[in-house]
Amino acid sequence: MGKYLNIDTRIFSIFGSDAWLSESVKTYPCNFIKLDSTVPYIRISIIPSGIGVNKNSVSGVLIADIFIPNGSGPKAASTIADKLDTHLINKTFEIAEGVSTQFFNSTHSLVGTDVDNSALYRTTYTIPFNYNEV
Amino acid sequence: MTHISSIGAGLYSDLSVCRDPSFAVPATPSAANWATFFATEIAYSAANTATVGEFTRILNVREFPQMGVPPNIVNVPTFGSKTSRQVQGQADAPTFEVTLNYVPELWQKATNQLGVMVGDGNLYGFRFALLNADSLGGTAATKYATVAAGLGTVANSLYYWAGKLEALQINPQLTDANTAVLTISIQSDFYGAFTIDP
Repeated sequence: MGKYLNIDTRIFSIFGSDAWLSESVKTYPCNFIKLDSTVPYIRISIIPSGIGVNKNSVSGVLIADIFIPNGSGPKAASTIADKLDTHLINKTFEIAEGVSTQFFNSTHSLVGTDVDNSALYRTTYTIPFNYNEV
Repeated sequence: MTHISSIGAGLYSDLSVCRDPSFAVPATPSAANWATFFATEIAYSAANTATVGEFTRILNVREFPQMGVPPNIVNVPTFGSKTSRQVQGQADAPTFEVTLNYVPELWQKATNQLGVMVGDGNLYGFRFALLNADSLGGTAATKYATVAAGLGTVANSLYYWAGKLEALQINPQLTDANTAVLTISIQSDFYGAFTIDP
């Protein structure tokens, strides 16, 4: 398995774990047509676009777009961002011997009313990561 | 776990000091013998006692210095050769300066506080733990101890030495967190890298 597929597989598995499912936050990957529009929900994008420490490694950022009902205030989004922090911030996920993905510190920014659906309000949770392979 | 086997950042790296006032470098400085000094974590405000194994983590570290003894390479002229040779001389003891985000309460000069140890001239044992992931230990007193149920729960590489807490210099900031530089003198060799297995 190549590094990009390794990253996708390992990071998305976090959102398929029992620990994350128990948070009861609907989670979809980017470029995926969701079956319902129940809010709140989050959309995960993994962008491995940074330089790595060797040819097998890469750095990048995980972006979670958080959608909450428009007009309901920011609390629901902050609550979800805190849940994401619990599962991601400063965590290291071993993929195999010598292969790991390590997350760092996060940020959370308010974007505003969703351009595709004015009933939704969107915030963006961002956390950088390094994928390293010996 | 064993030694760290992957590339990564030491996000959870830890510096701890053994609180035993009668500390001395073990006659046989093995991993097991050093581990006995770091068996139970106690608070900054706990009294130093002769109980072997009590240690305190130095919190809020902002920047660690380089670990280990620096080289002291000496150039030796060699007649008949275009280049001199190099030999390893006796290295100077390194200055171990740790930059902290300064929390005055933790370093107060009051009875039983860790701050009293700064400049007291006593020899203490130190442990630097290189950790890429947080310990999974479930008990507060042993989560960061050199025991199987503590640091043994994650990949770890451990370094030990004897030293003294020589000075704490405060660096007030107007637009950033206040910082302090904790200077530890090195009174022995560095021992490690060791690891603690589960």
